[in-house]
Amino acid sequence: MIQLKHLTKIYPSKNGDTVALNDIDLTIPDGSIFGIIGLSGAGKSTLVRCVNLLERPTSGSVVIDGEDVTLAKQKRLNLLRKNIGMIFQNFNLLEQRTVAQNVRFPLDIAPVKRKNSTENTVKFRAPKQEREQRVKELLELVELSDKANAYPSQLSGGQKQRVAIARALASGPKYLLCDEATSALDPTTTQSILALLKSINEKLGVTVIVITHEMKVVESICTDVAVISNSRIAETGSVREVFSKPRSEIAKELIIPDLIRTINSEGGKKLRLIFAGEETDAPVISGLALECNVKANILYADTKNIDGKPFGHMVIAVSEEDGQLEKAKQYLSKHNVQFEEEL
Amino acid sequence: MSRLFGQLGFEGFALATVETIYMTLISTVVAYAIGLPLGILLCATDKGGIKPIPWLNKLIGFVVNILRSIPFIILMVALIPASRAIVGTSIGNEAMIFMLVVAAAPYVARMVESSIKEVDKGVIEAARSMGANTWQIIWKVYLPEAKPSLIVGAVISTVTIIGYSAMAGTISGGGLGALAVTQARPSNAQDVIWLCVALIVIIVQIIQELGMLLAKRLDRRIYFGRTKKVAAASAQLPAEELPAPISAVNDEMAGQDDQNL
Repeated sequence: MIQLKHLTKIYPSKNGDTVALNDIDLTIPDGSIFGIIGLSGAGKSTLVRCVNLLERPTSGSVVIDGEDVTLAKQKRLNLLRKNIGMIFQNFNLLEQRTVAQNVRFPLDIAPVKRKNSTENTVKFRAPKQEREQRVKELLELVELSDKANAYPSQLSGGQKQRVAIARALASGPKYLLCDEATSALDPTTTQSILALLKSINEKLGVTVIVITHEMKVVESICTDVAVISNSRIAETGSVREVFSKPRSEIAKELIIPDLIRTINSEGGKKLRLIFAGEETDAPVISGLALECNVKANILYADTKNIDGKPFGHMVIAVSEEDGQLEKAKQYLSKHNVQFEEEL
Repeated sequence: MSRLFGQLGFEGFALATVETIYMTLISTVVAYAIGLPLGILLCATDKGGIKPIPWLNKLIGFVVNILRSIPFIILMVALIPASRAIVGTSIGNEAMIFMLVVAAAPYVARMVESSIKEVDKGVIEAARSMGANTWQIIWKVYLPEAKPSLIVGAVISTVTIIGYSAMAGTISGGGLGALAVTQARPSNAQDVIWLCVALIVIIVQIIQELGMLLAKRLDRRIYFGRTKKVAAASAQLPAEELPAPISAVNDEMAGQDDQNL
């Protein structure tokens, strides 16, 4: 389990300090795919870099499996990092090494076992043959066995990210940090990379932490999400919770397109209807029109697949004249349709 | 043909050429033995480097800058006593090598520093995230990733040292520079001077071409527009698996921005 406690990161500068993270408290449960979403500059990349201490937090602690890693000495930290894989937006492959050599890199830099060492919690450097066997398995996992001897510059973006994933998994980490891992990829490739991350989570039990600015990424694979805004955690919970009842302004912004939120519904009110997998056989819109004589205007509707279950939401505009809005609300409550006012 | 030209004959020119090559090679090797670690140190100890040590970085940077700002012809004269103390003499090829090394090592350090600085910061960050220690980053990331650029730097440094060696020849020792300046000029043997120039040009060209060829051969990256290698690489890969040309990638990214949120 990864726990961030009162994490604060301040970048000092002559023109005043920049607060990148402000008193962040977050618990990432084992086995989850945890999304951290926010707009550019919200501090999400700094946050994930604090987990493996690529960035040193100004104050606060990062506790991984009970150990405060901010207190670890460099040597210990290097060992701890082998338990936390990381992939990046720009892949960051070694350009002068082949695909296989890239994947072998973490195995090559594992500590050499001293003759009289009794240490048994450390993964020592394996003989070369074993390392190459492991590389083979990893390349099979990411479906790139045929590219073992290619160089990164010969690969497409999606293939590069697969190599990066294989490399990040080489040391057998318990955690995998993904910093905007799909932001440089096209939608189709993004989906295949996300599917791979999900299968790694399921097959290998690796806890995956996904940093992204795209709601689609969170929707398609995450179990939990934290929304970060202005260097603070605005909201956190399971993806379904946050999607059905976004509490923070920023979460609403991310879930419902801006255009819909700002559209003027001419004297009417906007309602957001949520169909979160419950049986709703009632034909809501025609019901509103026929049974309650309410004229509803559909502004937006979308169905997503969240955490393996269908999730729909719809934004309608209802006039406040003749008590239409009240009637509509009553009708919706009667038919167990979740809704919220004021987007 | 001048009298001097006849006196020198083939052997005279060959000896001077060999001396120039010998001085250049030895000086370059020794300059790299000193300059390469210094360059790595400059990079690693820099603010934002893998092992920031500001005072050490400033100290090395200061010494390097001082040595680099003294014109070689003056540095040479200034180094005469030091050469006597360290090499035991201030004339001859060995003394010249000493002077060349003192002048070239700081230059090499800066070349190495700039080559290593070209290595993608992201790649270094990735290595750190995998738990690589400082030495591992130097040996397995800095040097191999900067290799093509380091070779290009070595070619430039070697050519510079050839130039220095010709200058060094004027106060002591031998080589083509000494031949042209101390022997040919006083007797106004223009043909000897021009042959010296031609020989130096040929040496420089050979080093330049061989070095660049080596750097290209060893570089595993493909650049768009670097026709030969791209053609060779694309022959082995199905067309659709080749990375898109840069312009197409940019378009794709621009398109993607529009889709975000």
